[in-house]
Amino acid sequence: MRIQVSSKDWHAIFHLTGTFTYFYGFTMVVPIIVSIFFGEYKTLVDFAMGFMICVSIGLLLRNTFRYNTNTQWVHGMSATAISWLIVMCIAALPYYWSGFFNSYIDACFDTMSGITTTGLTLIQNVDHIPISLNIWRHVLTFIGGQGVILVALSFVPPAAVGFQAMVGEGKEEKLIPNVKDTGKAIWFISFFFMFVGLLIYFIIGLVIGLEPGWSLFHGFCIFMSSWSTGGFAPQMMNTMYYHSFLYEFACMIFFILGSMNFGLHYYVWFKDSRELLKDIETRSFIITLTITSILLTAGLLKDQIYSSFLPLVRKGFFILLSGHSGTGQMTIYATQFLTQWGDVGLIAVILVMLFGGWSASTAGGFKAIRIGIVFKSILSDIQQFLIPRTSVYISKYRHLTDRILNVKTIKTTMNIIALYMLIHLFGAVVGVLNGYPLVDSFFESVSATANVGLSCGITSTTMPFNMKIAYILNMYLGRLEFTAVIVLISYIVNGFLHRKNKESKVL
Amino acid sequence: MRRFCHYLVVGVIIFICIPCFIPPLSVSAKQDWMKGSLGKYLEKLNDRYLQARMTDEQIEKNTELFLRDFLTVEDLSHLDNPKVAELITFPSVYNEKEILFHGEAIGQIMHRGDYCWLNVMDEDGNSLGCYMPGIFAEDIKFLGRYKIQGDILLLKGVYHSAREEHGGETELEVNDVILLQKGHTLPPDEVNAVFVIIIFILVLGILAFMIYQRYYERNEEHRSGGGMFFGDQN
Repeated sequence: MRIQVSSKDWHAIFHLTGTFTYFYGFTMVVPIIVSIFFGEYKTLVDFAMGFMICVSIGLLLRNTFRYNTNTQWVHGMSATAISWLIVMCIAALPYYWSGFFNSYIDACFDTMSGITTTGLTLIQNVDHIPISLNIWRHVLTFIGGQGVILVALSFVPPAAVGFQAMVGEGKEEKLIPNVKDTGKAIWFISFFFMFVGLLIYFIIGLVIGLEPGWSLFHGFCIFMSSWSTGGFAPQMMNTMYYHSFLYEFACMIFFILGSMNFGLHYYVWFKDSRELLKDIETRSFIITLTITSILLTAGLLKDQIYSSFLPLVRKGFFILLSGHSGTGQMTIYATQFLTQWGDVGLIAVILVMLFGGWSASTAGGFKAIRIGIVFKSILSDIQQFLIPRTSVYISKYRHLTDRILNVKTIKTTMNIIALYMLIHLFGAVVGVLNGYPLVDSFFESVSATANVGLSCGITSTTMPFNMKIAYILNMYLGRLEFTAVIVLISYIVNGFLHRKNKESKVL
Repeated sequence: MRRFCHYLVVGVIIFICIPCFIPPLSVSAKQDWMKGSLGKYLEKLNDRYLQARMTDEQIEKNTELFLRDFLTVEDLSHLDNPKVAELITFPSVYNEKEILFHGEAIGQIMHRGDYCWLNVMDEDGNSLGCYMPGIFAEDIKFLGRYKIQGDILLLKGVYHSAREEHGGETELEVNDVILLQKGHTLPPDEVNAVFVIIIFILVLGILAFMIYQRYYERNEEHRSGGGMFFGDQN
């Protein structure tokens, strides 16, 4: 028995999409204010145009399609999947009009990279772009990290579907029973860290020789980039621009905090701070980070790339942590991965990108909880062999509460991991078909799908058109963790089948 | 009426989508500084050698000599003038070797004691961190950013692919700097007049729509004794 899709369902979906798009438009007010402040009038007009288009389309959808009082979770999920695509198309317009992109698809690529907090970029000459445009790049990642839907829900929650829409974009932790309050809690945590982060970056900026104004600007951008695990930076050299271990250390702190589960943040803040080390995700993250650190250190020392402790931390460990948290900030040039790091280093970075950060955070990848569950599942199978056949071994894990590891959880986890692997392979195959080496293609594909943003040099404006589309798809699917998109596709197919059945009955 | 509304909606969407296909006005992003004095010097030099009927190879060699003329103190003909991409791709060739590097000073000068860091961007858009005594940076007045074309510098120094003393920095330890071309402020970009008109129309359209909606819903409310206002479905 399948769900029957009627026009009322489409009305509900597009009404919600309109709501999300309408409220998302208001985020463009930030670059509009900045451009007025700095007298960047061309950019001001571009953003005002983008804002008007976003608001107009949102209003049109909202008012053309009627609100359905029987709105269900499936509508929320589908609306999430559509909203992300609409937002990408509209938010790319000010980018494109700025003249710093070779084509509209490049602008879409950068927008998708921003809102999915990936950090791969096709922008030209970033060192000469207007301040408002630079701020917009980072605001995009910040909003993407919080969740496009969460931004809309913060203004007005469509009550029945709010939480499902958030689940659709990978925010499955319900911190507080009320959706709007959950949104507020997430904003509170983010804004608190933003204040602290800005202060820290500002002070470090002054220490390393930046002028106060620039220190604030760089602090703002780099905080947004590291907290949302985005990976963008206001200069083309990324984190290398600052030539400072202190700055890089602050980045490491903030991208670890950013890649942590918002639920865990809330728990540590308001309930029990000991929960941090008890949680399966933290343990899983620490174990995978330790193993890959040993692997990377061995590789780099073997090839004598960095022979002392500080370079190993600044270059090796930074990149590893950046990849693991899904940030993508870099302290080496993209091609140095291939020309200097060697195979072991590359494998270590690919592994951490695959693993990813915490669930319900801004990070991508398989997520630490899934790695932990797979590991627990293997352990429980081994334990089962060691006890009498008549007994049953019950495996438990702690994720905010004590939970029993059941077959359903393992199945769901394995399904998501399998889907991730398929998408990684898809991106890699597209790369290979375009003539890139297998390892490079796989590296770049994993980086895009896991929303990391580290690059070994493939991502560039000269990249073939089909690869840009493939990576946009990878970033989109990776960020939404497939569920919302699968729901949307099955909804479309179901609707089509339902219509066909109806027609055949009439005949 | 409903069908008319649908056509209207489609029409408006098409109308506001048209600007998506309007190409951007300016391509200020392109790095055109090579057309500046360094490029002109090179062109002049090339012309001179072309007149002397020299081969391309000879011209290339003499271009190097031309660069050398800027640094008059010692013989620099043995020095390479690589771009960042070459430095990164072939670290074993350039590591710990003295090279020439030229490009635009960008961002900010970051003073650290008697020394400072300056990032210099080559014509491919890749930048390299340059570590130099603070005194070298005194003459650098224009640093590249939006609407500012930074000073074009020619630097001589030792390239380190991972300098131990600086925690593994990929950098150029600068020994000498020459200002090849002074930077300047660029004229402001033109505002797109078409966009201004469209924004104006859209603002009017949205306002009219909202007023109409209020009016329509108030009437509906009168007729049915209550209705759904925009934004209050919850």
